[in-house]
Amino acid sequence: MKPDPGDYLPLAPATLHILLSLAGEPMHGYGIMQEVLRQSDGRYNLGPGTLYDNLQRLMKQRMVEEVAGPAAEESSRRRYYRLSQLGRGVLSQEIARLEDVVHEGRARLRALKPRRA
Amino acid sequence: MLRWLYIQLIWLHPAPFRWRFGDDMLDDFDRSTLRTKPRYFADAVASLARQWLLRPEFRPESMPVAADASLEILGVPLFQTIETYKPPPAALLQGGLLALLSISLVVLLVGKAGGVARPFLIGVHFSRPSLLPIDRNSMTGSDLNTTVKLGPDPFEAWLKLARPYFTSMPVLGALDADRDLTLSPWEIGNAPAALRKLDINYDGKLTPEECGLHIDPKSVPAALLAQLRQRFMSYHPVLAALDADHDGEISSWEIEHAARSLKKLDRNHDGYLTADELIPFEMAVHTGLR
Repeated sequence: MKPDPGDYLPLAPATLHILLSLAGEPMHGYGIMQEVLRQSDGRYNLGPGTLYDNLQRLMKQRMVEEVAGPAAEESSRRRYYRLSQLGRGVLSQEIARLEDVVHEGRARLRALKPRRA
Repeated sequence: MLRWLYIQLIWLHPAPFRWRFGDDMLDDFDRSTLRTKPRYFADAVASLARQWLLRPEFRPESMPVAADASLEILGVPLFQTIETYKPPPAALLQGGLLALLSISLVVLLVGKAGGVARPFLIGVHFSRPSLLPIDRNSMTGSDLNTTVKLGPDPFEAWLKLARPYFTSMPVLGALDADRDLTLSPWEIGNAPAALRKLDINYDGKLTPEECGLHIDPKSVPAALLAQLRQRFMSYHPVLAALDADHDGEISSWEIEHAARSLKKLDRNHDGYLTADELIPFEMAVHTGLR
């Protein structure tokens, strides 16, 4: 039975950022950390321990999979990771959920604004 | 050195995690700047705790071994590394070193705790009289007629002052159960029970009058009476210490925590409250003891 992406929601901030980093091309651990830093404007500094702990869990849940590195870097001992089909589905549903939250939040804030006479 | 320490932290992770991500973690550490390295250490420690406490499913003990058992039945020699099931020698060595370091640190802290370094006795030397040459020609045949006069024991003077003071203060009388003019650790610990005996009107607190103030409320104006009551409670160190919030009364909460308040008077930290720590400063100055 195929797992339902909705079962994994909502995602923890670290998980969301990692999945988001892997949404493009495959990346190695250090690349993911740099990408998370860039995405969050330097506010979210992911450490290696946190990153690999999350990757270990995401691979067990089959949201992320390990792939061969680029040909130019074959001699490197680094491992590359990419998003699986399930990971992509989970990320899409989480983004949709966050969009709903933002929409709802904006509507509420608009209602709170003082009206001009 | 930092790199070596970081490698040790990686080594302490469960084996499957270490095998899979150890190289990458070290590579990331090598790429990081010196300023970010402390954060990497903190992150590795957090990861260590997370791996051992929250990720049992990734630990070696939970891995299946059924296939090995069937091979053994078929008579196939079975080889396996001990690392999966037992801590590796390196980890045991690290543990031993860490334990030694911790014990040394504790011993060092205990040794320095009193602010006085304890000297170690490493031997006893008895001096021989022959080492000190004596010129016997200069000695007279008669006995020495020097008189040594000992001055009064300075603490005797404190005790002389303490005797009437303890008698006039019901609080001290109640606390000093064995009447030796010293509050022992047991008497300090027993302070709440001793103080409750002074609560004559059973309202749960001790007023200045219950603590020994004798003033006829009708003879002085109310404002002056309040001032005198406050002054009485702040003048005597034992009452000032017990009245922690300085509201002029010893509340039930303050009675409950009396032992802790009294320990603040122990200036030499010997666990005992002696006369010099209990008698008001002004009184000691007046009698020439300070």
